[in-house]
Amino acid sequence: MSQATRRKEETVIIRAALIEDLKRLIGEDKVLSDEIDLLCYSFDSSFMAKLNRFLPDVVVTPLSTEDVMKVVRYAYEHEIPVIPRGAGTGETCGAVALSGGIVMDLSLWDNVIEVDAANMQALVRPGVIHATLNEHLARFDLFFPPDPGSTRMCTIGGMVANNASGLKAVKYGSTEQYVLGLDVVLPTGELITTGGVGARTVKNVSGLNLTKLFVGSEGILGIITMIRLKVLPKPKGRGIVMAAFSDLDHAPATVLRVYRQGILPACIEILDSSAITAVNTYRPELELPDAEAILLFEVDGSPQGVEEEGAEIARIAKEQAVLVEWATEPKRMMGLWEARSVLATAAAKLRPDGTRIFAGEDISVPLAKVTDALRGIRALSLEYGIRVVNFGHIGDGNVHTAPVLDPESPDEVEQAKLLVDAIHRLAIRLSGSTTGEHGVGAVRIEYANEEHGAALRVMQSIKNTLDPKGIMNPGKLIPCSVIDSSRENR
Amino acid sequence: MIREIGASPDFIIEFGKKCVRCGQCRSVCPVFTEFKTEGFSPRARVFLADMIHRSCKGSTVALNSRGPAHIDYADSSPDARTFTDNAPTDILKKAWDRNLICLLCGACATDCPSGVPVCDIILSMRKEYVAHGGRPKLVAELSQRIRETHNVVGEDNENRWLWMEEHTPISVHSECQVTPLRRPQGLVYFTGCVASLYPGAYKIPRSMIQIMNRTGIGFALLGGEEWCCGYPLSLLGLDSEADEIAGHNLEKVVGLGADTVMTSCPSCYYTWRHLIEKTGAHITVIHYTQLLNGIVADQAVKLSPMEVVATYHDPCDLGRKSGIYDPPREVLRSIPGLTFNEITPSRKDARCCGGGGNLETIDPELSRKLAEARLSQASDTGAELIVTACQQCARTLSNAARKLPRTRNMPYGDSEPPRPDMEITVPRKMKVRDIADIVLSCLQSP
Repeated sequence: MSQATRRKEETVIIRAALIEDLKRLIGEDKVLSDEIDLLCYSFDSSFMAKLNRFLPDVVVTPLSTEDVMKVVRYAYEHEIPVIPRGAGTGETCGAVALSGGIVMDLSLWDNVIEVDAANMQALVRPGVIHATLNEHLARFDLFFPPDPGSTRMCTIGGMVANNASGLKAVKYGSTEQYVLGLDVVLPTGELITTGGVGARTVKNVSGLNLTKLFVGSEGILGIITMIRLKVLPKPKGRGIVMAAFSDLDHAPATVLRVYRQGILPACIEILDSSAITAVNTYRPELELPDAEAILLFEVDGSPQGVEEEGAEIARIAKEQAVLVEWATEPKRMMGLWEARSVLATAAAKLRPDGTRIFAGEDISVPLAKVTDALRGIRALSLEYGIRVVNFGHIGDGNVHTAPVLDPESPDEVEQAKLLVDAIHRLAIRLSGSTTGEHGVGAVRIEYANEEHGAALRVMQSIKNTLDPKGIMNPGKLIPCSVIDSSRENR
Repeated sequence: MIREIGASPDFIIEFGKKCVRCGQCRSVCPVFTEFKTEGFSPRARVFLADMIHRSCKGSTVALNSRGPAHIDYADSSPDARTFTDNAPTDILKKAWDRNLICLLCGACATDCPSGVPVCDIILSMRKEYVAHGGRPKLVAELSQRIRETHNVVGEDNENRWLWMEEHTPISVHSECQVTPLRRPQGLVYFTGCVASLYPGAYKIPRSMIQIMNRTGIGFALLGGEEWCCGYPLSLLGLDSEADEIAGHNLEKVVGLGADTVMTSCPSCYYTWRHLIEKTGAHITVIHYTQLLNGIVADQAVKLSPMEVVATYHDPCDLGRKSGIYDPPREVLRSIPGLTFNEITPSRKDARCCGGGGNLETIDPELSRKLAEARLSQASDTGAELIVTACQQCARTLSNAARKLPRTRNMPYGDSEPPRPDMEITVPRKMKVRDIADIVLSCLQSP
């Protein structure tokens, strides 16, 4: 028997023992070990997962804090990686097993434990779907403001772990602003509550802010098992201003003038000429103007306030825009939003023999540099011969780029990798970040040194303290070692 | 096969690469929302089909596989590999088996931002299963039954007349002969297996012929010469058998000199539409909701009031797959006294009743749970009556409605008892009725 064969046989035996132990710990019905299921957990939405297959050893689907604690304690004892996963809608390989281990699918644990309307809070389990939570809250005229595009499928646990946001981050910010407390199972299996044990306060400055530490930690510090959220009263009014510009620079200039008037729209979206072309190709009946940029402002609040702010934004936009429309009628608003909402499909269908990919798709730059970023990406697109569609949340500098290519073509794949790297480096050069809301995962980890310098060492220390055996979601968010000393004294 | 689908590795790989695995399909798939594990998501079905077909085709596209070393085709030691030389046959079979647990409702494909035709991919997989000699009991039995009896029930096909014999008297228009194979005015009413052979569904054709008789619309029935439309066979991948019996039906209709085929079953309608498209036969295919709407719109009849709050459930094969949404709604809105409340989701986004894709036969318990979920959505409209235009939807929903509790609490709390203020609208006992039955009951005597 060869050494390789022997090693393989040993692996099979160890894995069989792992599966049996997990079944004994949390029940057979919560353990998936069939190859067909493991394959289905080998991907997320990232391009990296399209090119690679990341198979876990086993998948568990816990439905209680006790289940999670038992699995984590076991994994800690046996030094087995644990990879928490929500709906697997991420674009960074954040919820896949890079080198085997236990994938913990928390999406089945989807109870809304309580809507505390009197205190404007909600208590939820990690698997609750974002849209479902807002359906529950709507009965109390409340809502949870962060609004990712994946609202219908992403989980609150995933949103917290990635500090997700969305279109309305301009006014409402990101998830971290709404997380008041968490229950977290640490890598050792110990359960802690952040934000105060039993607390139901909105303001609480007692102790170190561990809640903030875990929000956006991408599962490398522990498993989030319960989330206490602050929620807000649902706005009664809503309106949309659309403005088309013949000069790209006029778009951010208009945004700035709106801000200077003291108006904070709920969201401000931009479609550059690449996006306008994509939409007009896919849905010519929408008849988007042949412009360099289109801005969509959404305002919400009291009906009277909406009317006033919308009219003022329209007035400001008219100073430089070639076309401006202001609407509050629901059907017309839906029509105006359609150009934005069909973009994903439009980009995907731009090439019959290809598709859009999720890579380099989430850079964030200062507001004043948005046009530089858009122009820079277009130039890189030409340089590497990969078509891109650009759109994004101009109100907070978050640019989404959709490279469109044939993923079967090795040449195009190689060029795309170079393009994506160049886009990430462009963001850093423009004093921005490689990611505004999608996270780092495994796909942007190589930029950690460059983005964080000496601070990375502190992050590493925190990680090592909480997870000395390195079992929690290894290979994500921050590298295990190395700090580029040349960045330390920056 | 009735409908050409690209049942080839190239077809599946073409769309496999288009799928960006965003997971949007998770939010609309009724089967996934019940199981909740990734293996039942439409994107995973596409992923598996793509993986398998690369293997079958001997794809040279290298994939980097990382992970544990326990699975042969995912050895972590080489950085790159192909599936060419170690096709995962076990996975093939399991993926095919799992694809039987699908409603083929088309919600995922309709909602897909990348335009991936998930249903066609699953149908391709089913077809290949059969082509490779896979004949699970279900497939073998259905095939034999239809081959021998020409209907899905397995009864003597002449029993297709029974629903009429028990229904007397029938007022027959002077030009309307219900005798089989006599020249009609031009319209053949293709009643379908379920409506002709399941007593519980007799009400549909009985209502239709009374409405047609009272409005002077001539028609003919094929009776024992009406064979299964072929849809259940094509759903299981038996395309050539489906083609054969569909060809028989077409021959009989053409032989009568008919220019129109009307169906009450949405699946028959879908099948006939594609059959005509494929053969180029000069036959117009209509659904009975279109005829009913025409009758109502022409004011050929006067409808008496019906004081009821109703909603309409879109059958998948009629709505999402055939684009017929408005005629049934217009019929309902024309009934005096009837308050029509739209269900959410509806039209192209409507959720399947749980009876699609032969699921009721494959997994009746799952089918019932999915029907309950749809009933719950109907209940949220405040309606006491669900109207539909499909004998299968009516059956699935009625069966589930009979077993529903009158009240229930939403699960606000896995650690706390339900609180009274958290109670939500309950799925009350609801009635499910066919649209022809409703129209007939509103028909005033001339």
